Amino acid sequence: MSESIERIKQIIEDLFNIDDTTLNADSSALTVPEWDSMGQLMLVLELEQQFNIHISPEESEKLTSIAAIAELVAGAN
Amino acid sequence: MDEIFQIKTAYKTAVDENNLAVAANLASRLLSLSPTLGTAQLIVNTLTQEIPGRLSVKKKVAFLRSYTVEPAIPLMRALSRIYGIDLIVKVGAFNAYTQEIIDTSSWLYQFDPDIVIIAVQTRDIAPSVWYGLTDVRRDGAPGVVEDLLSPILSLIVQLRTSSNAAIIVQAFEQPTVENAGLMDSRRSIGQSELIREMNHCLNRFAVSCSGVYVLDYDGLIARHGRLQWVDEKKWLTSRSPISADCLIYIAREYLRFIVPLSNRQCKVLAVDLDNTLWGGVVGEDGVSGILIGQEYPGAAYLAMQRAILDIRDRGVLLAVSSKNNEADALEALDKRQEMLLRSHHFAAIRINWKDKSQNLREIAAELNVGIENLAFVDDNPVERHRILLELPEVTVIDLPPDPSGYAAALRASPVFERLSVTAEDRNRGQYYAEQRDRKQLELSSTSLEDFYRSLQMSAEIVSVGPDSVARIAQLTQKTNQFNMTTRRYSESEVLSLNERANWQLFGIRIVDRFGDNGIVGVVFLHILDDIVDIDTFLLSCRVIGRTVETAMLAYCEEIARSAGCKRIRGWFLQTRKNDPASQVYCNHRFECVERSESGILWELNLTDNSIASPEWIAKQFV
Repeated sequence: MSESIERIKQIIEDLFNIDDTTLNADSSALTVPEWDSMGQLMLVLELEQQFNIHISPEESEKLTSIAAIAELVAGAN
Repeated sequence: MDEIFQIKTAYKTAVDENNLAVAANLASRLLSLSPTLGTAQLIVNTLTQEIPGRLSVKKKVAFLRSYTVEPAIPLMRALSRIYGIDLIVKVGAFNAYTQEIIDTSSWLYQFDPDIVIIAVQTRDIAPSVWYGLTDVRRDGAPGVVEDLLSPILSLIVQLRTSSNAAIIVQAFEQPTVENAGLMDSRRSIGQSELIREMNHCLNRFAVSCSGVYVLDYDGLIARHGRLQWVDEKKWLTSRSPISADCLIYIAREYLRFIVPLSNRQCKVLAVDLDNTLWGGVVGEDGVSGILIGQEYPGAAYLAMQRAILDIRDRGVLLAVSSKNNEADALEALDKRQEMLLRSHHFAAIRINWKDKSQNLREIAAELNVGIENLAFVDDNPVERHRILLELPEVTVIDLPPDPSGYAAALRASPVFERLSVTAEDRNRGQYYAEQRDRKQLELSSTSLEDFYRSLQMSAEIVSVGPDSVARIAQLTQKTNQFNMTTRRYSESEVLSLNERANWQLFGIRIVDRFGDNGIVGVVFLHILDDIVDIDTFLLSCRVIGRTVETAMLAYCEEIARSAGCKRIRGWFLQTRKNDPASQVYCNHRFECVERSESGILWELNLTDNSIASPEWIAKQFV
């Protein structure tokens, strides 16, 4: 789990061009300004490619924090 | 995963060490292995320095759209960075393109883009065709296609009139399955056939409309698989129709337009021989032992040679840079029967044991092009890496380990794309062979004037028209050396300037005893009261040193006198490359009247001066 949190932090850092050190498991759409609705679409597209998964609209709605993403990715593997 | 991580680490090191050509090459590999938005953002945010020798180009791109294009933008910007192009992208509102085009005070015109991409889908432009065939049940009625297209075509015409931007229109895609199923093909005009006809009509329209290009969207989707392309869930939730894995393909398709529109295309392709044009090493395996021909693996190399010839047909010059014994290699090229490429296809040949970077420099000098106009292809990754380090200006094309992928890798490179191919382009290789004969004559002539006379030159003044505009615009974009002001004009800018009453634009075509050189000079004159101002005056390096510039200036004088002007003036604006043109005005008795940081303003008073056209250039004014 912690390994995937690290990887997701890295993904979010690259995608939104922000500093890794400011991110933690609780980082969310509320704390990261770039993580708006277009950011959410980009993030879902990125996760689908990085983890080779398909994310449904229902799942996508729940992906509002790094912890929630880690949980989804862990479940998918 | 490991390979991606390694390349990413190497990329970051290259950026830190400022090895920017290496970094750009690694970025390109990274985007091939991991074509994700995160990779793209990383590149956009880190590959920000100018690659040495490649002047960075800024281009403004406006999207007019009916769907969510945003996810493709980071990928398109990252790919552009690899070619030294910095894109500034703005996106219009959903389905607002009609207002945005019609309202000349809209953001679109304020943004003043260089490139407009019209990203629309069949379902938006022709809903009746997409959702059912209710409107077109008049099966095959004449004018159906024209009626469907006329709103979008008149918008494009409007945009063409109000903006000088290059316009890229996305053509219409087919549905995954036709609405009528198998019956579609049995109607007198089915959905699938109708969409094909719409695309045909759109293509014909674009060919007739300067600066308008069609992106074959349906062909692109078909290439990568229609079922893979569409992400129905994201279409329904976010109006984003393209699946994550396919975003890179649309971005690469945009690049095929953006690279030539940014003048980042290469003029010369330098190729290696052993294991690139044929399998094996001619020095060891012998002329009959190397692999080339209809049978695999020779067939893979034959496909590579075919791709190289196709690129030559677009006007790209070919050169050889190979470590070999020259006699062996030339024998293989010219004696081996199955070979498609022969030594006469190459404008410059360097077969020796010298460093390849030295050879590439010599090739650029011999062909009179800047080193940044060279592309280099070699099967050996070590040679490629050395060129990246030693000649960062050169575009190095990576080949996959398997030769069956060579031809595709070469064909995929956007640096060989041309948006219009002129007759001059097609015959360029030929010109260089003729040029060698001209040099021979120069050596055997006793005096310079004898040499000029022996060339039997004749000049024709060519006005701007449908047959000449592409070449005239191209010369303003590509001529660096013999160019007074280095002002770049697109085809549509040339056309609109030509419309203006106080402007006179012309090209000059030179024919000599060795052949037709085509249009080799361009002059744009702005007539202001009693002064003729030379806005643009340039000559292709093909005819430098043959007094063609004197004939052009003499014609400028004729225009000036018939317009009642007393003076001709023109700026020489210094660049890194236009030194060959610096003395032209001075040599024709122009006087320096103003100096600024950017250059010198020269003026010729016509009351007591006149320029005689050289007697050895026959005039054929039409």
